[in-house]
Amino acid sequence: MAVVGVRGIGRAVDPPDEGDALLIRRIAHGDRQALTDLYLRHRQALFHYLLQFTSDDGVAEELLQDTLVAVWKNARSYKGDARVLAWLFGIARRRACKRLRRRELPQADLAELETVPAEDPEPEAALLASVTRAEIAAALAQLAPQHREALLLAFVHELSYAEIAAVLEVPLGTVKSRLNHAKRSLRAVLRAGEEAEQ
Amino acid sequence: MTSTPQETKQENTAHVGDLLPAYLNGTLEATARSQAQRHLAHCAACREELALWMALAAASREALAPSTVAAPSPALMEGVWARLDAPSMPEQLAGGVWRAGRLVRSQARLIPPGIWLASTLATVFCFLGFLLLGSHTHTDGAHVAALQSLIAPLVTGLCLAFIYGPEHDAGLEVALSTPTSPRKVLLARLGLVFGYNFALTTAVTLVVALVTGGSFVALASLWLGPLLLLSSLSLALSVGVSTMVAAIIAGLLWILHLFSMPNVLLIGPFGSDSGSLLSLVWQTNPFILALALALLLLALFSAPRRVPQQV
Repeated sequence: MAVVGVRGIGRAVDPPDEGDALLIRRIAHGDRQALTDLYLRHRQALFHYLLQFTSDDGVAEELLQDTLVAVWKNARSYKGDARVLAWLFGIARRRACKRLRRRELPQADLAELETVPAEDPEPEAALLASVTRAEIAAALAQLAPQHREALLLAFVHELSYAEIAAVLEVPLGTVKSRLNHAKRSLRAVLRAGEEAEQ
Repeated sequence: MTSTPQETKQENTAHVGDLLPAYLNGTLEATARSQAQRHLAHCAACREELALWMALAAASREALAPSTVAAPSPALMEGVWARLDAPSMPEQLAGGVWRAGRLVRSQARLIPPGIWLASTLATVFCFLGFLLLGSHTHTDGAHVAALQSLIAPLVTGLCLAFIYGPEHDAGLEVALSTPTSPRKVLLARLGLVFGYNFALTTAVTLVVALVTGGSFVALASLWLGPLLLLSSLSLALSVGVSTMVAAIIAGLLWILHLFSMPNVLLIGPFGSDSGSLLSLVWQTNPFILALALALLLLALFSAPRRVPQQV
């Protein structure tokens, strides 16, 4: 299907969080309280994000420490192009991949992808009318980690495509395809659940 | 900038599926947003897709909310400060160099003065030999290097026998009563005494080579092997057995070598050693250097790494 071009995907609605940017500038000047404040602001989001890479709370805490040490050392390199939160996610992701010696979150299960139909034979409205939000949440849990990560960054942390691409270190097109894969996988999981009930 | 009717028509017919996540999370820029809104107004397929995205976004916000996990430990920042305050690699290296320098300086004061005196006198003796024998026919300096190959190994070997003998060295007892590793103390003293002897012997050879025009490498090769071998043997015996045993064996070997040489009483050419076993090892070659290194390592590893616990 034809789509509108990729222009107009940059963040123009919300300016970068001035409070966070100020904290980064203070950190760059060696202000330890600023790093503590930044940690207090984003600890939950960062910790939760790092738990996408490991199920061990202790390892996630170590990765969070790695991230904060890297923030302290690299605060001067923050240019303000993306929101501070996106910059933090990027650092956290690189620390996690480095520490856990892997480049990516686990790939989507091939068997799962094979069940995703190329074209949707059933209208979305009819499908959505038949499922509850709890069923969608349960279906989310079955998604591949890569897809959940894309949804997390897009809908929970509301990052732009460009910011997500920077965090994941992938091209913009890959961000879109991961989100679309997530949607198609979800649709397949929901449909499978529906068929099982019948 | 205004759109032409054709462009407007194309915009209105082009689906906006790829933009819907950005449309929903508010990151689409104004132009693209109004373009998407115009399209959604008359495209039922994209509105249905938007409905699925909205359900997905709502479920994601609920199921993937950070509040679904417990907050990280409050002590986490303490670990961050500890890591930031820990010395970096260059600082650790600089600290190591500074501690090594302090150890060497402290050991330099504790080494018996007789050791420095013996080394200096041996050098003066060789240098005098150079001056006295300079008028002989051996103008390439080989006679002085041969003299050095006799004197320097003996003196250095005896000096090293006395750097690690608690029975003769109150300074070492003091050093070993500190938390510093005895092996490091030995290494510091070895570096100091051997370095001093080696530097003096090299300096004399260098002067001789410069004055006579002889080859420095050829001259140094006359004494280097014997110097390293007797020194490492003496040190290994000193650490492994006792200072006196090391000194006596080093002295005996030297005497045996001296009397195995022809023209020994003439202090003449020293050029034609007999084929005795000692004369075979009294030279510089890879085997001798490897043997010396092995004995040196044996000596170092024989010294305890940690200070023995007092019972």
